[in-house]
Amino acid sequence: MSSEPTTPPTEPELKPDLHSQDPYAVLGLTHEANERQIKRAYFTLVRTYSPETEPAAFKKMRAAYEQLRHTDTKKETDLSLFQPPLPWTPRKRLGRLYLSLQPDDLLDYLALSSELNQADFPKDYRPIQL
Amino acid sequence: MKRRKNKPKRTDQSAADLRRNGLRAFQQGQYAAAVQIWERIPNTLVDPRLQAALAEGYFRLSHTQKEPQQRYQFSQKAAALQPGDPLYQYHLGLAAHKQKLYPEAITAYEKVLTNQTLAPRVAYPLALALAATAKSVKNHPVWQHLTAEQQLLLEQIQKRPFAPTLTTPLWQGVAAAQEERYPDAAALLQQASHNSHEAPLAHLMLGNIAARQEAWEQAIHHWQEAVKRGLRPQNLPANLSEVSCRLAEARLQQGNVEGAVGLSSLLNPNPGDKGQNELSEYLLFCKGYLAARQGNFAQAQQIWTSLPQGGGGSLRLAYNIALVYEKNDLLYEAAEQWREVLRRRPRKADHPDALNNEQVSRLYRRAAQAYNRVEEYDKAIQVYKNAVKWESENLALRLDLVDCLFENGQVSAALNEIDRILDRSPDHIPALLKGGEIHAQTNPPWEHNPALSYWEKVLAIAPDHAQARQQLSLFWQDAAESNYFWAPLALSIEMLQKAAAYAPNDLNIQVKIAEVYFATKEIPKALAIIEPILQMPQVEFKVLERILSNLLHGQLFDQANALINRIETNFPVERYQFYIPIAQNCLEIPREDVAETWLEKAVAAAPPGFPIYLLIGKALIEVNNETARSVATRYLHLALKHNQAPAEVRLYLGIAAAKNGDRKSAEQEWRTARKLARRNGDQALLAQIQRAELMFGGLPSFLDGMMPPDLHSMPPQLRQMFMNILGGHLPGGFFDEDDDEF
Repeated sequence: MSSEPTTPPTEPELKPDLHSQDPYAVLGLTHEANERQIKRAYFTLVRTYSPETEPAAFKKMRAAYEQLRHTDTKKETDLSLFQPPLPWTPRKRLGRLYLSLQPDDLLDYLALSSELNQADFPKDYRPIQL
Repeated sequence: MKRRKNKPKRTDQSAADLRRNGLRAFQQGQYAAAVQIWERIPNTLVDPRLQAALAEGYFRLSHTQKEPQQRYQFSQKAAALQPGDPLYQYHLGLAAHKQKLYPEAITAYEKVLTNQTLAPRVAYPLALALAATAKSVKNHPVWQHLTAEQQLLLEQIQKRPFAPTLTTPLWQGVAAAQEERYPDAAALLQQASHNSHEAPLAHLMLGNIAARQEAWEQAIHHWQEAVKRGLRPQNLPANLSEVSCRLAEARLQQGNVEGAVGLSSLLNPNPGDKGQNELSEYLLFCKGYLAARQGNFAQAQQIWTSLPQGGGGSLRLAYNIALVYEKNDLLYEAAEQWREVLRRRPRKADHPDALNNEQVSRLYRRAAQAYNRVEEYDKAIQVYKNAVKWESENLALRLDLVDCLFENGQVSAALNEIDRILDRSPDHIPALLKGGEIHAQTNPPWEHNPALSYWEKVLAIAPDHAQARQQLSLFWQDAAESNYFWAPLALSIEMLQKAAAYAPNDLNIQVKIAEVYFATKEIPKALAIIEPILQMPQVEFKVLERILSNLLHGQLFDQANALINRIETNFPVERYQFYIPIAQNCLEIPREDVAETWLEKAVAAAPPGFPIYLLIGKALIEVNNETARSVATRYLHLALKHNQAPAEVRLYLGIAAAKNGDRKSAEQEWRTARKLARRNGDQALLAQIQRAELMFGGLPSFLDGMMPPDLHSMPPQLRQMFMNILGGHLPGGFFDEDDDEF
């Protein structure tokens, strides 16, 4: 139910999104990641975002890891995640394009330079006598 | 017979008034109002001036309309009112032309062509209308009114195939495109696009060429430029939609979901085009997903709920809607939506969105929790039972069901469910604790209460279980206080000692034991408990306060004064707030002389401007004896003298009088209070006065009969019962249930 459209990234491709509310995204993972991948991603990222140098980022990653490290909490977390769209299957039949110049288009173009393209005609207003 | 002074009111405006009012509206540019007023004048058409004014009104009104249809409608009215006026005919022709009603436009234009003044204006639109209906312009009298350039253009447009020979870059570009020399065409049209006059058609053609070369982004750009410059080609919406679809699909293939989503507003699928419609819904689903991931739940909800939810691939949509309802705190809607998700789940195990039994159960549980949180207990129970069916061995889930059943008052069903849990796991501590809690809350706190066996079993499994020990301790404290009046006090002490055995460090229990000794006048025994506590270096404020109350009730003023000093030294108390309860305790004995000392101290300690007399008066009325009420009344009068919230003071003076059985004075005080409260617009106080009249005005004898001599000495349950009778059941009653003081 929670499969991502793309395959999970390999370790060097990990791109943590520290602003995301999705713990998988925080660890740079897809929703298909298993326990081993989660653990590996966390410990890889901890080297970059250590508690000493990047305390805020570390805190965020730690919280994400806590949500995913145990089977039961992971299941609850999975249940609270928005489901990504399935990969799009391209349309079998494309729609038609009408690309030849139509006489109506030419007339519409010519009308642009006539009074047909004018919205108001204050010069045509006449006074009334009552 | 008296003459009627007032003339009957005029119901209708006169024709002169209507003319004048219409003219005023017309002069202010309110043409809709003007024509509406003039239309109400009887026989409008008889007066030529009025008829001309009305025509001009409709004429001007037509030019304020954005919708071509309405513009045409009002132009028709103007022309009908002045059929011989060529100007109105000309504008009727323009309005019809814009609606693509070419025959009507031609008829109107032709009527004007003979007018020398208007002929030059009408010629070109008439020629265009004739060309649009494929009629020969050259053979029409309009031909002679056209310029040479217009004649050439129209002649070439009417030829098939269209092959312009004009030499401007635009027409050369168009000609090149017609001959499929697209690179040449593009270069010439690009040049023409810099000329504002030629730019609309140049952009349209450039868009068409780009689309032929599958340069979708360029095509979209040029077409949007053409539209921006006023061109509305017939095929453009469909082309724009299709090209946007193709670009969106290309971006999706590249994994650029955000880029694809950015095109969703350009999609304008024909209802019959299944592919485009599916893609449009897919992009909106993605748009909602991106919004939700960024925490913009309101936008996500708005997008997702606008999508059609039918069809096989909609489980994810239903799921996300349920989640976003939860995020937006729409819990009932969320619960209903979770059930929708479950109804819609694929039943085949190999489906990518198939749910296993545990997931089904978890979703049912989630729906039930949402129902539970909005107190829809019947629905919650029904859904919890479904969840249990899917995961019958999940004891935490069954325990949730117990909670819900109990909340819904289904005690037997809750206990049966506890039994089912214990059948599966006899040592399940949460179930044992819950079973004890249910029995404790539904049976009197006496020694045969089944709650005890549940908690004792927990202690047999885990002897130091803090919650079980606390529950047992609280149970025996409640039991002791319940027995206070109905059983020998020795039994209460025995129960409190049992409570203390489960919470040996709880000094409150020790003080409660001392309290019983005070009640039985066994002062040495009481002091034997209290004095060691007072020797302790650190004791909680609440414990000391309780000891103080006992010392005052036992009239042990020296010890009480020493304790007051200790409290004042060690705790940051507001002195005037601290002294008033001391005075209350003294009046309960009653020792007015001692109480008075503390009240004077309270007045002296109050900050300047603080309504201390009112506060004292209100507090002392709570003490249920005449002495206290007399002191309270005195302080309330002082409050009046110092102008401390007079309306509220009158309310409490009324209560004091009512409690003394002086109903007449009470009613008089309340009348004054109500008058003052109305004058101040104090609705809250008015409601309080009404409640006071209900509680104290109508039933003095009932109250006298029910009021025990000393409510402070009552066990909590009994005291609660009195509080409920006296006010707790009334909306916004006087007594706060959490407040231990009466």
